[in-house]
Amino acid sequence: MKTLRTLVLAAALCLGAGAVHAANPLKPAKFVWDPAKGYILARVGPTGDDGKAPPVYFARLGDDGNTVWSFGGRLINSKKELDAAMVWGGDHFGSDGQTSLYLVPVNPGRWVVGGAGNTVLSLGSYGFEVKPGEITYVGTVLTDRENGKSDIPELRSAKLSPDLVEFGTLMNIVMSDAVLVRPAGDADPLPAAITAHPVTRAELQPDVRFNNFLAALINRAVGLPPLEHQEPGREYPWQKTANAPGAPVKADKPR
Amino acid sequence: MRHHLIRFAALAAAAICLMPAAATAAPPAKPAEAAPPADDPAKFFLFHLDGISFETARADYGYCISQSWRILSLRDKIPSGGGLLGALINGRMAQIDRFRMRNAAMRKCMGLMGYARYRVPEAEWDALVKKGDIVLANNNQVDLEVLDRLARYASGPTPATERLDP
Repeated sequence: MKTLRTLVLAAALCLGAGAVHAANPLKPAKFVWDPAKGYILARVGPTGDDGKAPPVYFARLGDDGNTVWSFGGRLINSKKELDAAMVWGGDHFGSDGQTSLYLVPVNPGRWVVGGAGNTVLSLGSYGFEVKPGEITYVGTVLTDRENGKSDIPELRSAKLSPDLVEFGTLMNIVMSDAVLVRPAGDADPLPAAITAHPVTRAELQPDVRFNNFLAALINRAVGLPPLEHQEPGREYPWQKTANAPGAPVKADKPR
Repeated sequence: MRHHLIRFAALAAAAICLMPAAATAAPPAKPAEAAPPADDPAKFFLFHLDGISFETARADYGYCISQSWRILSLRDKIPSGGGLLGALINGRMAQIDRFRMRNAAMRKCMGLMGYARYRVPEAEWDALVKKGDIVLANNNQVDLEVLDRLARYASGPTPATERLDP
């Protein structure tokens, strides 16, 4: 079931992308250093027996605080554009049994851990800077479904209500994923192919919020402080079309 | 002809397999004498928080709606096979999925800000949201009048109805 879900997710996300493409993680054999690019390095897990990690997303933020890339259009796994990234699968720089190490070439700028699985961390995540000619080591990103069954204690405590956990038969579309981000440690062992280049431990900025760029379920990274109430008077994207004229369409209602 | 029948049967079987949401969402046909089904708490609910002001509740709803209103289902993201019939089935199922996913996202977002979820009788809920849902009106846009009603409910007296899991 987990494999099926991963395949469906990957298929879904590979079929859609915005005006800008996202990058694949690099295959170690094809790693060619480009000093004009930045690089995101992250351990992702928990891995399966084959060392493949679940899908985890990174996204670059624009000046407005929203992601430069968002869902809808072209392939997400194109290597031509570098403003969002999905890392998962077998193209990693080694596995320690629980996590696998992924390297992704990206456009320099302000980035966030964007989400995992079918969930965007738009309600609060961690941000970090990526500079050109540097490998930015984000740390470890662990993810699991919010069903209280994770092997990782911090993720096990993230459990949704029973009706959401038990929803559906073939695939649960309403159960979000929990994401735990552990900062990079100075003593973390890294392969020589990585340390041959400048590596910077990311200074993680907590509680960065952004748009739901994958049009998916939403969540807040594990360990962040409670989500505070919103200030009245703020404008939201839906207000621009809230009462806009146009051809009415059928509502998304199951009745 | 046989080929078409097999194709239709396969499509129907696939549709049934892919209908977990519909199985719970669509009201089944029942004999007239059967007891009416209880209002589904996964669909007919509203949020409330003791001590919150109308303005803040409205802002909280506004933020969560901004995170939820453009949610797409996996069926939207993966093209369907099966020709016109397949597209129709997939389109209908995608509608249901989006509704369910928006509800789940709103529960997550409002729940993280401390709101509790209360059951609302279907008829009352329907009138309150104008037969739309808590994110979108029946024309797939955010209705500001409904938003005000939701905020008024959230900031009003503690509901007498059942408090649900978050």
